[in-house]
Amino acid sequence: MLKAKIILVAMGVALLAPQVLAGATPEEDRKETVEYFKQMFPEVPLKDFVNGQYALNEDRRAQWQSLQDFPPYEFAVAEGKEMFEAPFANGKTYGSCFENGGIGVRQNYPYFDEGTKQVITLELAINQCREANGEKPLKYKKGDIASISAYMATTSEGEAFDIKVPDDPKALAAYEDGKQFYYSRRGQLNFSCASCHVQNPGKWIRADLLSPTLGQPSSFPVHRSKWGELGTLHRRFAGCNKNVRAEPLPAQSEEYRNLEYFLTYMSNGLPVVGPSTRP
Amino acid sequence: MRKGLIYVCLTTLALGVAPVVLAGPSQADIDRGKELVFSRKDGNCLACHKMDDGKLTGTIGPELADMNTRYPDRGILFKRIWDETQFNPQTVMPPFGRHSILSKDQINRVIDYLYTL
Amino acid sequence: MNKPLLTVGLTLSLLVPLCAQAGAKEDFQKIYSDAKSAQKDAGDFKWTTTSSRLKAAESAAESGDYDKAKTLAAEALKLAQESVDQRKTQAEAWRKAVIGG
Repeated sequence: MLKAKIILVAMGVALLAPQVLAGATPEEDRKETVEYFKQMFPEVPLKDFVNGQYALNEDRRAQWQSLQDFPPYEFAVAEGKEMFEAPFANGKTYGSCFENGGIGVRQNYPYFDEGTKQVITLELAINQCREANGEKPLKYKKGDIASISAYMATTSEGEAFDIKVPDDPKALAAYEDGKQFYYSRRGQLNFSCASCHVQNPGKWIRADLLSPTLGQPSSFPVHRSKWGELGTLHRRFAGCNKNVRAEPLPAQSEEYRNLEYFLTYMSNGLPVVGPSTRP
Repeated sequence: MRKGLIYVCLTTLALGVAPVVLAGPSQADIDRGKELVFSRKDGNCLACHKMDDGKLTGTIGPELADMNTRYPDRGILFKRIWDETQFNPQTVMPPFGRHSILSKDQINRVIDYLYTL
Repeated sequence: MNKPLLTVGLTLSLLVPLCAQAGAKEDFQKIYSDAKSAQKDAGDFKWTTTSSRLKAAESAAESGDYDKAKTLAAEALKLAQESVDQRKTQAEAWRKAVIGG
């Protein structure tokens, strides 16, 4: 009860604090975000936030852990590895497009490309690689791209996210754009991402337990029971938008890439744990 | 004779009209309200509020009980369902009226039901 | 039998529903195009409920039921305007929800 009161007071203070205090830099934003969730869930170790709802509820966590011996995405990851290693028609492989041959690089995505002045996500980079090698791009929400992305995530398991916002006004603008998206209320139901994942993590919305902002992208791509397969982060964004009756934007649209940029920056320092399972 | 008949008619009218005004909603209104409150497509109130015999209810909003004591003024309750952001800008409760999620009539049926809790 | 009168009567009785129909069609088209432009104005803040009303209005109009099409288009217009309001309000309001903001 006392704990609940402290949280309420903390939230009240957070909401009442003058705007001038709003994190001026991405790093200040991140620190305040970490602090906010630490206060909200003092008993949860920071690294556990990557497990989303499972970090916040013991029953759910136990249930989830018991399913980890035979994860339902295993086959997709094996397929992803095969595709990743198979040469394109021109003889080159995905590895030729990435640093370190694409092994152990997941934690650096998304990044801001100073040449084209835009945010490059891992999935976008996968398709850019295909097109540069004369292959057709893959669809962005599920299927082969999710399998390849999942395999690449496994090669970065445990690596800490290291997203950078370079000293470039366009990079900062992309970050700010993503932040604005996360906090803007949308749809007929008038929810922002933050309405659920900042204001109400750990609470139930019907039979679903809400996850915290912190660690959200770490486990992607995820295998959702609801989907019965792997899906990318942008597929999840679209699903959340539809839930609040907002028209979703296209996967890999500039808005969603900027959103991923902000969201992943917030998880800097937390480990890559994808792929994972969710309800 | 005729006077008597008029008198009977007037009495019937008075009896027939008065209860509707004084006794509030019919059972049908209340049933319709509960339907709207429980339906995922309409009110979907159970997503956030525990109440009545609702199963798998959410924990985001307060439990809805004892509504007569908490909202002696029906008009206030109507306004809060219409647009709770007017009372609390950071609420996550959808503005059911302002965003046309429910019509005026539907909100009134919801309130008819809520006052039975 | 007054033949000219009968003709006038028949013509009138045929014209009246046609006129009413034409009126409903024009009304629909006006409201529908207003709804479409409001929906466009909503930008990244479009609502799925607006889109589905617009689609339903279109198919009602295709089947010639302009009264129904008009009602649906008016609903779409109202929703679209509410989403435009949301976009405008959120342009600033989002800052108040930011952690530490």
